[in-house]
Amino acid sequence: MANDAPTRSPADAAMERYAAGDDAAFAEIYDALAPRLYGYLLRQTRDAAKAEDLVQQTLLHMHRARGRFIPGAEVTPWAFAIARRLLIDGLRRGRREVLSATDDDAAQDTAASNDAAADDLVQAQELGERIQKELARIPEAQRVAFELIKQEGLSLAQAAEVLGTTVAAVKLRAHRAYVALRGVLGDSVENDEAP
Amino acid sequence: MTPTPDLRARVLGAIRQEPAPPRAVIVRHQAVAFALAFLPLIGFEAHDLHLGERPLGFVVVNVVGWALLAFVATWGAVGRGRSMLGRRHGWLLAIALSLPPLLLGIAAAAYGPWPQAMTIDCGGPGDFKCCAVTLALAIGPLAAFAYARRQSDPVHPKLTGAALGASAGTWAAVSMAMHCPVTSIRHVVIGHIAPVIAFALIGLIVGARVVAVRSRDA
Repeated sequence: MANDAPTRSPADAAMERYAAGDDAAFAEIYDALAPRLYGYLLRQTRDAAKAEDLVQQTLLHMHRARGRFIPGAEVTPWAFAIARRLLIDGLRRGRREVLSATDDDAAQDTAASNDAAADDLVQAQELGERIQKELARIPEAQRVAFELIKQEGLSLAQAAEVLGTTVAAVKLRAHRAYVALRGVLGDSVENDEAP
Repeated sequence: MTPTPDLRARVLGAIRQEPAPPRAVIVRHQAVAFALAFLPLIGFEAHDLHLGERPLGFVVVNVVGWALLAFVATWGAVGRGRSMLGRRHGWLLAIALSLPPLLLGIAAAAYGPWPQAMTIDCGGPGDFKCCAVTLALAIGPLAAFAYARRQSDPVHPKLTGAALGASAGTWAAVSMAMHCPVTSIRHVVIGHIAPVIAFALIGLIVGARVVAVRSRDA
């Protein structure tokens, strides 16, 4: 029975304390979630300022809902679901220009600050760009499932929660996205489909 | 990919400027909201309660059966299980869609042992008067449920709203089943069960407006 219980992450523990009244715990929640949320939102918006704005809105929403946090609940799918909803709201209101544009200045700016070996960096960057371009072409439901699992590191169950669907549906969507990417990118895509 | 250090200061500064109550305070607020919302129903029950020509067994079966349904539906719709994202899509859909036929099924089962209940009628205007009263009684519970679930569903808020609405309507129908002396099948359907469907539809709107996670400047 204990094996079925999801592992409690530092963010889960911090949120428990924050819900119970420990104000200092929010900094831990920020440190655990903000970089992941920012990465996800930057990939979606291609705009660092908008991604930061959405991270701030997501974390403020979690702050406002602190008293309604369910003991034992997972924070990560909740945070990603809020971020995704706010992103979609922004899209619907026309507050962002392009979801899957090929213009990736923001990603390049971010990558440029990395001090890894130049060749590896360029290769990785090119592959990343190709993956992003191909991802932009596949159906949204498949793309989002793939991104949440492969890029954001969510489990199948967590991604299913974020998307409001079943684990089997998420697995199928991510698999189809993977097959589509592999068809286009061939050997460049690492052979580790199973999340 | 990491956000700028400035963002951390901005977020922590923003939460200091906008204090949010912890769990203990929210639990108290919700208890008060539920008590206030259900007071009109209790007051309605206490006022001029009489059996009329209705068989006692019919009333007991209907009230207990419908109350059990209302309780389970409320647990399913207002509660979120162990996930901050609420119940699954199928659960919520089942609650919203199954309540009216289940209510009718329980009433139909109660007509079996007490068929004379089918003949206790009041004519058309009485049906719509009861319908209006049921609708009015459901407002309080829906307000309490929506308060408990406000801004809490980023995944399927309309469906959650529909389930909340159907649950609220069912509590109102329980009150009517206890109070209303008319038990003909037409009256029960129009006066007591149709408002549950209406409140499931109202719940769709409440879900989109109140239950959904929305940005502050939306």
